[in-house]
Amino acid sequence: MYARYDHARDDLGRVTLEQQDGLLFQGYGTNNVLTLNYAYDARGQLQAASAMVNSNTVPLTDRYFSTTYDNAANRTMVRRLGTTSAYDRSYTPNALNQYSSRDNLPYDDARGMAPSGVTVSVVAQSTTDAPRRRSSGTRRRT
Amino acid sequence: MQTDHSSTQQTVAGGDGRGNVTVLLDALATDPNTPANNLKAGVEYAPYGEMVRSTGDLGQMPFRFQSKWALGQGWTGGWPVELLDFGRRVYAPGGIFHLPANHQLGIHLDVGFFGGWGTARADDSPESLAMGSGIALFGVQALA
Repeated sequence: MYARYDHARDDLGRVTLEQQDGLLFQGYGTNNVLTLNYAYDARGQLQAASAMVNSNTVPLTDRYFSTTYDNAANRTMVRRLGTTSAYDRSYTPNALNQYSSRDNLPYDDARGMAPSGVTVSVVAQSTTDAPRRRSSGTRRRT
Repeated sequence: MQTDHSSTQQTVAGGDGRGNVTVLLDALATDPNTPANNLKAGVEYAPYGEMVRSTGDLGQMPFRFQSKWALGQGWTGGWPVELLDFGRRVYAPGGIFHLPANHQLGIHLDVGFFGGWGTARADDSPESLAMGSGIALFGVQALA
């Protein structure tokens, strides 16, 4: 089996839980289903998404996303790839619902997968059109 | 089914229940009972379309998040970033840097920078990015 996706929906048809399994997800552990949980606000806007393993009990903290919105449905904050405020990026919309500015973190965490016991190195780069940090060699489990 | 007539390759795409293309399989595989030999490419997506993880040759997988055509790909931080053609809009799930030449810039849901130092570029659309030190300004353009 290459990949299998199971979805659970709430009464409004929104996906609230998604389970991913198969060859594509074996990096998370053989027969270990990856579970994504989705939460929505009262307007139906996606508020948070988290990834869990081990029967939906162990969170993958760097696979966490959350978003806040203003009353015009503009983003005002995005927390991406982390559960703490260190991963927050604020958005500033203007009266025309255009984003006039956005926070930009000075770095992103390197992430990937590799079999256990494999040495993974991260190479720093500082050029403008190339990644500043990119994993080399086999990827590491997130 | 996708056929590459120059190399006689045939591939089959598979997706999840949310409209995303997630796997590309070799349709001419001689041993369909060995999935690892037939998987040509695979992708995991974050909720807003960022590629969380990928394997194989994505160059053979032009249709990706929401089954939209991927126009190009770059990197920001440790993230691969792609530009998705939503018709009148180009969406960059992980951030927008520069667009393919002669492509109209529309509304973008996100902006970003290579290396985080405000070095992004856009095409020659006047409505495109105005760069500052770590701050991007861009307008919403209604494309007729």
